[in-house]
Amino acid sequence: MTEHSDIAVVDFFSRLLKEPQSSGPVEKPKVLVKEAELTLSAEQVGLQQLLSKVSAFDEKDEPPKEPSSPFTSSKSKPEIIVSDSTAKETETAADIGSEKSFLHQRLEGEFQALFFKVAGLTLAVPLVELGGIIHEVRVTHLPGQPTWIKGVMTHRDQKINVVDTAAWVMPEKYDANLQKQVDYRYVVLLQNSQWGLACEELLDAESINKEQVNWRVNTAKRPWLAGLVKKQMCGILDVGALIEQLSSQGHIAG
Amino acid sequence: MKIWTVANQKGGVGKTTTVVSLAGALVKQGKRVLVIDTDPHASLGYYLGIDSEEIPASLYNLFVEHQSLTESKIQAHIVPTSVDHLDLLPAAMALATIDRQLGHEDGMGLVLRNIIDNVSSSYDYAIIDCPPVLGVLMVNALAACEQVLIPVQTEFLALKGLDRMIKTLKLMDRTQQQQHRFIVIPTMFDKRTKASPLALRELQQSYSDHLWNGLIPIDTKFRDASLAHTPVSHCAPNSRGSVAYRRLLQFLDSERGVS
Ligand SMILES: Nc1ncnc2c1ncn2[C@@H]1O[C@H](COP(=O)(O)OP(=O)(O)O)[C@@H](O)[C@H]1O
Ligand SMILES: [Mg+2]
Repeated sequence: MTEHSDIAVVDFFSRLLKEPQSSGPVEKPKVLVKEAELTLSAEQVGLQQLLSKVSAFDEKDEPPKEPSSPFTSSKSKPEIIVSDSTAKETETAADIGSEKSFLHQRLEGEFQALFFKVAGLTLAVPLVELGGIIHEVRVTHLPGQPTWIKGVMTHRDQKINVVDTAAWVMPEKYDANLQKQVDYRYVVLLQNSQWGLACEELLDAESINKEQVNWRVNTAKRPWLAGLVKKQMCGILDVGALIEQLSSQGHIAG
Repeated sequence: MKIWTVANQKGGVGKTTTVVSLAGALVKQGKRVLVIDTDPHASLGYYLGIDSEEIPASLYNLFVEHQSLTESKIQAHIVPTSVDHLDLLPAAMALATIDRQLGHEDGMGLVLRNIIDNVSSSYDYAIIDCPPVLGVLMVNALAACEQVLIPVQTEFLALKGLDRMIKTLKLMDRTQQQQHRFIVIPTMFDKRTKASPLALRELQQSYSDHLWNGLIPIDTKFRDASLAHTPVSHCAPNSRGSVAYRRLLQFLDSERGVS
């Protein structure tokens, strides 16, 4: 490990190991401020801001309402090390950068992916684009929705549109017979969107290299299918493109 | 309660086997033991005959609900095993998403410590199994314990993974202003090979202060034990492997091990 990555690791530890603040006078995280001076990466500026967040453990008795974004919480504003405008600039730049990019451009050389199964078909989703997993599928079907929407369910106070993944991925094969056989047990959440994919089985989370994927060049037909993982011979999802397509075809803002 | 974490950033070195074998030896002494699986592969549960995808709730749910943990809620997630006095807090594949879901929240490395605190009156020992990757789960496992056991397979290039693990511990200690005690445990020692004695000598040269002076031999009884979903202490109590883990336990519970 280089000195630089050491700093990143220590910063990671500092955040995770942040002790609950006592009810006494608020102490400034001295060590952390020093660490921040050593580095200027946008991510770490973000980490510094996060440090102002009141730890979850403080209000164990009265769980606080989760802020929609960690950046909006500002119960006790810390000394800001880098000015707001700088932080904003970085954020906007990152947004533009990721908006229309292809999955393989967003991923590191080596990345983790979760493999899951639907109607005999295996699909992979990069962990960095995964929003979470719900361990049940309890949806309410609303009239007038496309057939590939299984229904909506509420998860952590958020409404999630659950996609009937088999119907979405292979509409040509999806008949009443197949529909009867599919036994959805989990919902794979897509980033922080309102969309989740119903699936039958979670297989494994595995590290894969970008070179182990056959990336599709022309994605006009199925933009959500970024490529094929060679070893497992399964499709890998471009979550960003998928959310976009689901939102436009489901007439729901993702 | 004593809390031990078995960790190594390398897979297949005997972490899970060490957790189960020590737990087995402890319950044979009449101790109440909780084993905790933080590895999304859930191989500890699998070893003990519990299919993580078949149980309704796991450590994952406790992480997701970390803001509202109570003792009874935690107890509801702990499952008994087929071994008397041995309970399991199981893992699930969904744990693989914890880094992404919760890794940005302050204090997320202290969830497991909080969980164990809540049930500490029910057990004499807690032994934590780790995934082989450095992430939120491993940080939780390390932050929750006083003593880290690092199994190292006595083979060619064994030290590479060990160096990385010890560096991780040191960086963490620097952050936490805590000093982890760690013990290196040579595993799968096969005296008929060239590599095993060589690796052991290397360990003695580089880590003599932290090296357990015994070793865990290679023993097919471990495979039999895992196929039978029982600790080796229960299915082959007098095997060389079982005796070796009993010695390790003696050492850990002795002055030096506890120090
Ligand atoms: N001392 C030993 N002798 C023989 N086989 C062993 C020994 N220790 C572990 N094994 C076997 O090696 C494999 C990996 O061990 P495991 O404990 O699962 O490692 P880890 O948890 O570090 O990935 C398992 O199949 C286990 O049965
Ligand atoms: Mg293991």
